[in-house]
Amino acid sequence: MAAPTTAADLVVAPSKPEDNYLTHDKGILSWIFTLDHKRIGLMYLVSVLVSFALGGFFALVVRTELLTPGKTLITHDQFNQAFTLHGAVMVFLVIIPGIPAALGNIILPLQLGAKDVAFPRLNLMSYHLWVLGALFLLASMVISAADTGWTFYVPYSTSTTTAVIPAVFGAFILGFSSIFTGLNFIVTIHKLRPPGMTWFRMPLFLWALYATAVIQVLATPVIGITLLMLIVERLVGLGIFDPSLGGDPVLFQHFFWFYSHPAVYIMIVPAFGVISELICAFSRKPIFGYKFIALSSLAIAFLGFLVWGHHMFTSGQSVLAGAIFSAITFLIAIPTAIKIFNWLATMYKGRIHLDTPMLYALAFLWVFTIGGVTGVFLATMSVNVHLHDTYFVVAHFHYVMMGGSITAFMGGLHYWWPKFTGRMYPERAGRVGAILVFLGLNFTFFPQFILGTRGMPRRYYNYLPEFTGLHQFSTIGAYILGAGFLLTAIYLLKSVRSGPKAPANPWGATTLEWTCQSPPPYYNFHEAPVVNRGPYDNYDKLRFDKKSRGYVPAE
Amino acid sequence: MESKANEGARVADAAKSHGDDHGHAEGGHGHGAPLQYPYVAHHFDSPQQQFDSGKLGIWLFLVTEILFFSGLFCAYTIYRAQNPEVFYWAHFYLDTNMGALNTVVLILSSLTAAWAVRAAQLGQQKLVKINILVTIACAFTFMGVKYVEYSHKFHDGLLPSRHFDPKHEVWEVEAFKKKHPEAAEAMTRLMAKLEARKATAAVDLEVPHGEPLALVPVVNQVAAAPAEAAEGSAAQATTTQAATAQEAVAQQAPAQEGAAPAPAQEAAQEPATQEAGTAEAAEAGAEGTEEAAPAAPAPVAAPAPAPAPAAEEPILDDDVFLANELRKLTPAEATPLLRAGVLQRQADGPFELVRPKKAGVFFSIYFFMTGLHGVHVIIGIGVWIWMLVRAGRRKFGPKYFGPIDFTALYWHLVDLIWIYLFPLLYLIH
Repeated sequence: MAAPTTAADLVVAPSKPEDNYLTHDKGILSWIFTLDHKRIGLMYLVSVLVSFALGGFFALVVRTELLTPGKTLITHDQFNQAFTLHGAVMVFLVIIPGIPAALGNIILPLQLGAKDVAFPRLNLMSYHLWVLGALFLLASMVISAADTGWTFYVPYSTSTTTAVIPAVFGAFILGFSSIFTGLNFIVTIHKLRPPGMTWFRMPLFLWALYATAVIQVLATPVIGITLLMLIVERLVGLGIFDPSLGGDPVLFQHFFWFYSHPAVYIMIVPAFGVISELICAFSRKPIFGYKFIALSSLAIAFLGFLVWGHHMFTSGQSVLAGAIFSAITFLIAIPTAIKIFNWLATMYKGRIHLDTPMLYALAFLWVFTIGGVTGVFLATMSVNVHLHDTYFVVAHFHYVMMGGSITAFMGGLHYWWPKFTGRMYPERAGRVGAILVFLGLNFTFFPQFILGTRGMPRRYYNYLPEFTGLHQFSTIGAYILGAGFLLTAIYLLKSVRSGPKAPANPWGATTLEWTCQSPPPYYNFHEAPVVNRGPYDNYDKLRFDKKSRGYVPAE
Repeated sequence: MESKANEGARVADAAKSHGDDHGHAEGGHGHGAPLQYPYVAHHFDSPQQQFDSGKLGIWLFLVTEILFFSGLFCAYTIYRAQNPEVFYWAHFYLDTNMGALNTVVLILSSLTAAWAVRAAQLGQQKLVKINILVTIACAFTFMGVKYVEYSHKFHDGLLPSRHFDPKHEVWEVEAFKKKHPEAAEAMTRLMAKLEARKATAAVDLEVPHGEPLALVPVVNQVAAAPAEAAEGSAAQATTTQAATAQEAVAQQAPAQEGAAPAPAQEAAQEPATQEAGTAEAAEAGAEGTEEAAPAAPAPVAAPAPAPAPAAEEPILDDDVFLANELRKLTPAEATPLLRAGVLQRQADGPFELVRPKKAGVFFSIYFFMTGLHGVHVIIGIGVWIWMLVRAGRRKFGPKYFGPIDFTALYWHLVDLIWIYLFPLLYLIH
């Protein structure tokens, strides 16, 4: 990979500094109907963050209700609706589009050296579909929020009186949004690589996005048809899922998890990509084991399709099938551990800079490892039978989804914030926010592991008095978490107005997006960049320029 | 690296490039694709890159389409594997001629779609338009035929599970009559007999709900409680005392059966050699088409044990009368009925007429699959009309035929899905 390197390709593309993608066109319509991947990505980002606030609000409602046994704040029906909305909003509106559609949309063509994604119109359509899907979810919320849990299991989802159809239809539309994004990314990576950008010169974030896109394209259609069947089942009574009409509710679970297990990799694999970027950039060191990290993303994508049955150990599946699913699930620990160890090896003897994104990356390593290891516990059939549907499961997937995906998303957000907005955020506040989030996360979810092993079932409104202490601990953790995010929201918003201007390369990173100005010009690159080096070479060819407060090529 | 932009342009440049194009959202920025290719969007370097991207994109899209339908094919496979008799029973209600007509229509439309691509590649503007028009006409024909089929189904009460209420029994359906005339005639005779019986002995035959046919309560009962029925006859067998007696016989039976499996087979081929055992023999012959308790056929393969109520011939109610009549069916008459799950043995011995369990699920799957396919045809019509408009503006030629190529690929997939749906739904044997 280490082709003869020159510093020439790290020169910032000359461009009028006042002309960038944010200022290129004016007016609200130039945003709503833009075909520019950066603007679409930014709209995604804003929408995802707003949804994140909404989902976070529901999370705090749920946690507050659980402060005491019995009623604290809301009724049990409202509680069911609150956790359903929390789950549906966080999964479908925040985590799934968070890294690929929001961060990836802006960064993918920049890192690749392309002018745009392959199908800009499709990209815009996928954002519009996202908005439409979100509106349907909101409609369900307003009419009478679904109380099925985000998994929409039949027969409850075909018999409850709440507005399941708008919620399911919203998820159906969001699925198409996700498919089109994935399709776009695959074609972009295949066909729009500039001269010299071979597969193994791509930054690892792109490998992760590619693996994610493959899952999005191959798994999401199945949830699409499943949700459509669920809607029709509710409307006219198909009898495919509804047992009262001769249907098979376990079939729904198979279909659902055939998508939704790969979907957890849609949520976590791009996070791996972000972490690879962060660890490299802030250790100022080329990644250790590039090919292993790149290919392990694809391995995870592939294996992810073969493990859906581990969600159904207690659904009357045969023991043999359970054992096979369990064994394949163990296998996924291998590519995942490959990544973790390679990241650690990358940091070894690196020049580690503890900037905010790196703090998030370190938090990720800690939290995700706990989440991953408890996943192995749950993949063990005999253990799973006891822990199934307890708070242990809740704690596990929050450690992975919240501690993994959201932490990486926050890291990526801070890392690329100067590129997106052209402004720097206050570093000190950023670090405080990162530490608050890390502490809040562990305070919130670690007690839930203990609650789960002691038998506290998930999704319960009421609980035995002896669980009160741990529940209260968890709720206080959630408030700390909320405070961390609130602080982050405040300083990020403030930085857009009054933050110092960002240099092209504030972090001394070497991937292509840092070679164009911040924010990038409308066409990214005036000429397709010629790539003659690996993505993480040349750290030693950059020097810090005090005047612009960024890194520039060393002479 | 400027040369790279041109190097990919394998499609020869010619003077024939027309006016403005949709691909150019931002005209005249002097950036990206060379200006001699006005149909190339700004972020592509060459026409070839644009075409290749489109091609990969449409193939990926087709993959997602296949996976989208795969959920339904999966549901189909599972229900057919679990309830083969339902699918055999239900396919008689589908109109094979209309299905075949639609197959021909769609194949023709795929041909003209492919021809349209070829014509575009050769720059034969008129031929492009003609072929697109024929394709659209075929698509409309397909939807028209589908409309006729759907309206017949609605009229006959052949609807998804919750609304499923067929107006005709299977032996009254033309396709069944044509394929199994003996069975259809036998059932018609039997029904006439029941009618006559009801007319002569109205008081005895008074059945719940005032229904004229004895089989109706049975059918309703089964249709109303499919979940219970799904438990299978084994569960019922344990509840009835008669069945325990049967089981006792059944346990002795394997020895007899093992010694003489051949007679049962022969009996199936020689109609009406024994007055009492014919339907049973047919049942033994209809290998595994129904999931009746395996114990059931064995004891009656030996002709002796007639069902106990048969002794009460003079005062029998219609269930018993019907069961006796059904036992007299010849194998040729009974086999199709057994296979379709219409004729079934109750746990305690006598035959009964039922509608197959989960019959409505077949029509759920039928409407869902063909309906979703129909939606794809309608979308296809929309895209083809758009292509026609663009062909009218003389957009396509040897250098630029991507959109029409991609539309045709989509259309072939829609066609292909029907090629699978037709035999899977209409041509079950």
